[in-house]
Amino acid sequence: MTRKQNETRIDSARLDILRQELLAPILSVDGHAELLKELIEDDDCLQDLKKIETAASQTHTLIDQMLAAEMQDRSETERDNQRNTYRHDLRNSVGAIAGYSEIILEELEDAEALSADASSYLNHLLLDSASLLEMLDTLFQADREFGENSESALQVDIHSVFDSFDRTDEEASEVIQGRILVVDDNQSNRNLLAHQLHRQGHEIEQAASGREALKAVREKTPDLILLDLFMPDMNGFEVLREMRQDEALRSIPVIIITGLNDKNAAVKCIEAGAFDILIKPVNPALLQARVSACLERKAWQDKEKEYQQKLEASYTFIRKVFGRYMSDEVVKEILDADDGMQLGGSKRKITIMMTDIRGFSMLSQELDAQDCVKILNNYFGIMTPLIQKYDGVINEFLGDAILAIFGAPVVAENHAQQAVACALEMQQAMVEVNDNNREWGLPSIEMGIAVNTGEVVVGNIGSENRSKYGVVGHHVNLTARIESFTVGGQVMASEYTIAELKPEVTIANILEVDAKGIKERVKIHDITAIGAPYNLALASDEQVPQALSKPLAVEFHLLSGKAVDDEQVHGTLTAAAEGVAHLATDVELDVLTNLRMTISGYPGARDDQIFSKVTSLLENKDGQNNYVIKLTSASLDARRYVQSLVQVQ
Amino acid sequence: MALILIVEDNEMNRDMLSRRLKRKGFDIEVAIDGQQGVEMATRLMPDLVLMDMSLPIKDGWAATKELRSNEATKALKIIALTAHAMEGDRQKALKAGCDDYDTKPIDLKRLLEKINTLL
Repeated sequence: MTRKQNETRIDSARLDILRQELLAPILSVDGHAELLKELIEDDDCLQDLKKIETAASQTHTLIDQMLAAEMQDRSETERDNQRNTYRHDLRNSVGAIAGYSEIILEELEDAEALSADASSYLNHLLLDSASLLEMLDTLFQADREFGENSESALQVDIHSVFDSFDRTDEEASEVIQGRILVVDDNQSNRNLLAHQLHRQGHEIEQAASGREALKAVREKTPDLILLDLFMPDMNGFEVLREMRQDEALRSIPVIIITGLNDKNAAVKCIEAGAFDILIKPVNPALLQARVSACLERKAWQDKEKEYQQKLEASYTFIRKVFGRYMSDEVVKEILDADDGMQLGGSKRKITIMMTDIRGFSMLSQELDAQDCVKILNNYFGIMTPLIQKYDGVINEFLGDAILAIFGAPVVAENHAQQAVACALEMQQAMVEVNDNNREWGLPSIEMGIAVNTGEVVVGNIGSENRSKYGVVGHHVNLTARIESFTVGGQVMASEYTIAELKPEVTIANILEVDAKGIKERVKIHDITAIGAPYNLALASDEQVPQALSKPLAVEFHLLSGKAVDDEQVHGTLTAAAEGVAHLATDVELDVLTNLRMTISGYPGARDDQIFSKVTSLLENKDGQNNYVIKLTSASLDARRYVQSLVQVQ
Repeated sequence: MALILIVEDNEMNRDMLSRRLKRKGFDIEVAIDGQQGVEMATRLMPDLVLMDMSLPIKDGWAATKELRSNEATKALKIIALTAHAMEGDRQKALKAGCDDYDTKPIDLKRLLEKINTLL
């Protein structure tokens, strides 16, 4: 910018500021006169009030004209004469404001009709006119540069403002460009705007009416709309409203460009969602600045939407990852709540579940690796979602066993019943597991589940490099011990779990077992059903053993723990079904006693060991003790051999 | 009741001043330019003339000079009213023959003081 241009710019700014300062009291007069109109009833006073308004309006015009004249080229004498005239006329018009205000005050006082509000407003009028006169006096005392004195009087520092402008001019500002739709029924207006904006690098589209505009917007979304207010078919305001109500359109920014200098219209448009209002004729630099600001804002809004979507995607990913270990709900709780997750070690009363495929080790020796894995994955694939369904967290897969916990890391009051219900449903699901096995020509499997409740330590166990969310404590061991007592198809729960249960359960059997480290024996319960709200029951799949065509002689040893009793005992199998048999023997056996059997006379007898567990007593028959034994581990051959001996009915 | 002649071309100023002075108990007559002002002053011989200095047709200075040069009216009491309020104006008013002067916009109290002093 040249020095002259800059000086002109500064002069112009100085006068703008002066105008603002001088007009401020006039605007106040206008405002207070409006207020007074509502308060005054006397006709004469209302007439005088009208005169005040006229005088204010005259003052306004004079100020505008006077300041405009300052920008003109004129001789010194011309300038002085003009200034004198303005001065004279201004003193008259401002004087009229003061004078009539005083008249109204006096008349209302005399009539004793002067309210406190009216008095206050009228005094404001006097103050405003006095202050304006003072400003004008200061102004006219300047010798050469009009307003030079006024700068100090009005305490306005024009130069520093311009210094700031200059500094920002040096900083290059990026002009954002975009697609702009220009809507105006007047072709010249449209073309003018379109050309101005096109020069600034924007892509322009035009529409000559409200309907055309809406059609264009729906076809291709613009970044910004410049909208005229007065159009024949559908005015700008209606267009705004319709856009606002349409989800797809409401985020497009709209700048109203109108010749209508009506404050009410401006307010209504902004309320209806317009971003800004510009009055015609629009200064091109101002238009560019506003358009840029609008486009920039929209760009930021779009970015924000993008970030939001990315954040959502992250969350979804995290959920998916964690979801392999926990149910969606648990993951959600942990992600959403600050204190929902306590990874650090804490002592908590939870319920522990251990499941085990009975006799899997033997099975794994007989099958090839692929079939083994097939059986396991099928089994895990069905069981895992069930555990998650009941808000259980799988802590570990131990070979063919599952260790799951209920009640951690997210606290759950109902952990005991959830675990029991889960166990029952898992047993029910074995039908599906074995349907698949049979389909593949693979052997059926059986699962035993132990459930125990007690205080444990849960938390991140390990080191920084490698850690896992683990559970530790005497009750974990107890759960494992109970597990060892289960046979396929059973759900065994400790007395501690039973104590926590609210729903009703059906208990088929209660047994007492020794637990390491506990003096008393622990009661364990064979649960076959649970009531509301779960309502799950095990199918009594107990196949009734059928009589063998002839009794099968067996030898067996008792097992206590893993130790085998030396004494070899003789007995006979009198009946058999899948995995179950009746054993007759002289020896007295306790329920839950484990036996290691070999079948006399069976080819491969020496090698094949059949493990079984005494599950219940039968009536004495022929002077011998009769027991129901469940085969816990037996080779396929042995099982088939025993089955084959079942008397064909 | 004292008669005051107001010579003022600005309608609002005229209206304001005459109403306010009337309420203070004065009789008021008005003239709207210098020419009319001289005529009415000569005819009515008021107790006081309030003369705006910037008037059409004949300005206040000329009107005052004319009244002073006339035998009949040379003793009339004249207060100059001026919107210009510059130093020079005061001297100018007194030199033209005014008895006093006041600036516009009118401060009624101040003006009344001056009126009462003269009357």
